[in-house]
Amino acid sequence: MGLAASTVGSVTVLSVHGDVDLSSAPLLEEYAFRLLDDEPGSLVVDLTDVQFLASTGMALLVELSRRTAGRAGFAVVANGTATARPLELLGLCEMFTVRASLDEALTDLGGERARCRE
Amino acid sequence: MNSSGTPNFGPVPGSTPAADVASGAVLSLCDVPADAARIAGARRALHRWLGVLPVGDGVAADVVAACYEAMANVVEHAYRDRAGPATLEVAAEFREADRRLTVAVTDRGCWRAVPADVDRGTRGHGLALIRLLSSEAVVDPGPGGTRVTMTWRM
Repeated sequence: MGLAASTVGSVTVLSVHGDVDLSSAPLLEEYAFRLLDDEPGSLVVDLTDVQFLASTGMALLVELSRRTAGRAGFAVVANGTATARPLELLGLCEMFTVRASLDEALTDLGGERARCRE
Repeated sequence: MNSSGTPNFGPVPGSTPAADVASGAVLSLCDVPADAARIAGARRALHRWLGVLPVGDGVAADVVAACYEAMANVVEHAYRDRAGPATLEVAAEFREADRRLTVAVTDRGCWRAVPADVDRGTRGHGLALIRLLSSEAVVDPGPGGTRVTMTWRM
């Protein structure tokens, strides 16, 4: 698994590559929690380049959505059978925002910020 | 299944891989250490095996994901209070005639039901996912261990 962080405006994008499984999920968790501690803005977890997502990784996404609730936006980018399908099957798309592309997720979060300023 | 109801997934004696694929195929992974790194290897072995079967990428992804959750369950829960070697077995069989794929994950540990008051947001997704991804999933807990049998009908 590979991890990379970048910022787009006030949105932090955590890009994940490879497999999220029992071995790698604790590393992803530690990194994501640190990002939340350091960056007050919205968080996007981009799973575009994830080939395998175990349920332990899905539970982490739920936890991240809870930790960001009320203070910042949160979205997950997922498409394809390995990521979007299990998230949808488990009904997790109703617990947090899932978008098919990073552009869509960033547009969503930008829109939310614009509304907040009005 | 044999007459005792136990899946019989031994390797096919004297058969070549090509012959297996023509009529059906089996995969047997024995004594896989129940740890995170080794079940990742078993997941890749299952994915490789599925890659030469006429099952389609979508079904293959579902099989791999469900089987991984069954193995992850063993790693996380089955041997928590048990001494001795912590291992699991994966037995997979594809039958061309009725286009049925079965994967059984067996351990010698202790089955733990998901508690009723569990936090549904962050726990208990594994078994739910196994049931959602497969045509049928049976959990058979016993004093000597647990077998999770998952079936896909295509």
